[in-house]
Amino acid sequence: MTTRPISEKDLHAFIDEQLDDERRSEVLTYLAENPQEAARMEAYKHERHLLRAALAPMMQEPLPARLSVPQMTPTRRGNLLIWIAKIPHWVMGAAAAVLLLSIGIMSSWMLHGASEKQSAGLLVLGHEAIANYSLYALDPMRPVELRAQEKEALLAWARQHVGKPVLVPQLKQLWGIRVIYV
Amino acid sequence: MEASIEPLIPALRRYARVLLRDGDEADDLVQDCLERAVRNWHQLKEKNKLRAWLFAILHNLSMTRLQMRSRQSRALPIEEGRDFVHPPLQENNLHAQDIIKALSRLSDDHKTLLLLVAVEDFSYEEAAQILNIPIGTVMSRLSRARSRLHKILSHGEGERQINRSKNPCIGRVK
Repeated sequence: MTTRPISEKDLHAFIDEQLDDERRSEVLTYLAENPQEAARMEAYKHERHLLRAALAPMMQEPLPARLSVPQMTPTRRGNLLIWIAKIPHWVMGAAAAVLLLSIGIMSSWMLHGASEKQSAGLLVLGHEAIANYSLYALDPMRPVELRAQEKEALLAWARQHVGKPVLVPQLKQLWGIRVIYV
Repeated sequence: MEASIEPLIPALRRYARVLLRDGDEADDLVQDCLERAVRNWHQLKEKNKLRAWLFAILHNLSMTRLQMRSRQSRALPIEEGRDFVHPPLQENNLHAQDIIKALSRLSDDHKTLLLLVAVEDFSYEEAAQILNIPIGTVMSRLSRARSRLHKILSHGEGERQINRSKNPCIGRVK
């Protein structure tokens, strides 16, 4: 019966106790016949033992509190993270858009609050505009006071009141104009 | 999950501490590793591979940290390694210190492989997966690592005298 030749891998696997019984006995036979290799492997084995013994005390050291798993189990922050990880990308995208929009609204609202004093006049103007709108614009009887065709009349009227020539904006689909006194 | 991870923490700490030679930094990495494991628990399909999976995460974190360190070029000289082994070892003191000092002089490639195979009892296949290298590389690297460690230990005294005068600088031995 012929045995496979012993390789360097077999020798290391012998030291690391990773061989099956059959191969192990083959390696032992080989080492018995090769004293030089046997000495080398004996040294490696001894060094392996020293290394394990030197590093063994570390296994007995108490663990610091921050390295306990319950501190990071899913019941706490992990759960939230896994939950977030499972959300589809498009939902995350939409959520990000909503978040950005909210930030925008919030900040403009806060800016508005900051400049409230200066804008008191603007507020009054706004109220007047609303009052005018509800008085005139919602009047079904007289939707238009000067028709679009009466542009010349409008310009003449404006010139008279303002005191100098006035340009009327070239609005498309202009139905007519209503003058509101503010 | 807790019950399966917790018994593995001391070995993870040991691996990180030997590689980084700094107890606090090693614990930072282990903490990071555990948090990642908890977060990605669903990715671990075969629960019997948990130990190799955790070591792979920790190994990658350690390598990244060591690369960052060398980029910042504030690598610790060997003698300054803090918190390396504590508590102090008793009667085997001399041997333990010698072997640890010799280990610290190996390249990271050799150190990691020896730790995984000779200390943590991983199979060669598992070590190959953790280090993300072919099994053939594991074998040739292991052979060189043991040969190198043996040389350092055999010429121990003389080399140590030299090391006291200047910081040892070990090139990667392939």
